[in-house]
Amino acid sequence: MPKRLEGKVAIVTGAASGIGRTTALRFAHEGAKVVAADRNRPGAEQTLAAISAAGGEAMLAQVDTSKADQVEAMVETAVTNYGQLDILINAAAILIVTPPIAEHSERDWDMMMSVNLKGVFLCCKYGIRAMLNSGGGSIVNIASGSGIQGTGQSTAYGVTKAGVIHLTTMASEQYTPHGIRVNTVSPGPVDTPQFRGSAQSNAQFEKTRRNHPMGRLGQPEEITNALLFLASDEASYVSGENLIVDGGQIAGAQY
Amino acid sequence: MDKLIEIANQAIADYGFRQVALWSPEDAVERWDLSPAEEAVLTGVVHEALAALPVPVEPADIPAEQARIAGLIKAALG
Repeated sequence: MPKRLEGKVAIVTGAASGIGRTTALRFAHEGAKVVAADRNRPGAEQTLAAISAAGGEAMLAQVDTSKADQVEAMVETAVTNYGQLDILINAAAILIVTPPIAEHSERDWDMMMSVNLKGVFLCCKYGIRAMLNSGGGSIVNIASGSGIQGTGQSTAYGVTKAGVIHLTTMASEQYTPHGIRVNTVSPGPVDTPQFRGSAQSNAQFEKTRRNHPMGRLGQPEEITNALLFLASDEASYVSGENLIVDGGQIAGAQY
Repeated sequence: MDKLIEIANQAIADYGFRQVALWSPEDAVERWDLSPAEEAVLTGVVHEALAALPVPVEPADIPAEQARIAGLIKAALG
């Protein structure tokens, strides 16, 4: 049985941990040549080592996705070393827990806007240029359930993720006619370092888990499954979609 | 020194901000207008201390961690 991403070249940002790491590992397992991109070099090196140990092919790009020159260099790295770019997964993000808007610091707002929204924009910008040269491709941006409904905290985070969903819609509108599919995956609570950190205590983390409709948090691999589908040719007629992968959390909240 | 302690305090209490302090220190330097000496401490002793923290730091442990890392900063900057 052929691997699902055989012959593809993929960039995965945020590859040092969490969903980005499991995605880089899985994509390499499915035959893609992977550029594991992150500003956290030691973390990305661990991801790279795991891919190599499993027999996959990957290389590292240390990149701050909020910096245009670094993003351009990351894409150039993929094209120079692997000849093309077929898949871009935008997983890099930061989640700073913030007070309500009246007390929300401008610095925290700017930092989340910079990485979570501008970073995705820049990766799309340079990734699309490379994909146009490759004859097409697939981009999957990771948003969040908090980009769809309010969560009571981290206003900037939710707003950036809402922006990612809309950026995806516009990119799909503009580039689907050119052979580039652009989709979003919006995860619910997933057991990642970022989510554990945002819970701010183990008690709150457990409370979130207990209150979830499934009585558990998602695993990063469950988000990767959705990313794999959308990135692969199996989703050849899917573009502009926002796939919510949250174990029914948002649906449950509506009733 | 106070700006660096402010950065460390937020990084201890908030994992997301900790990622910025650890892996994009140039952002912190620019946004807080840190001196070269403060930048060296941020990327040296503070980085090492933040990288070793649990995720998350439990609320009850935050004041002690903040005091400990503030002490490291004061010692490093004289």
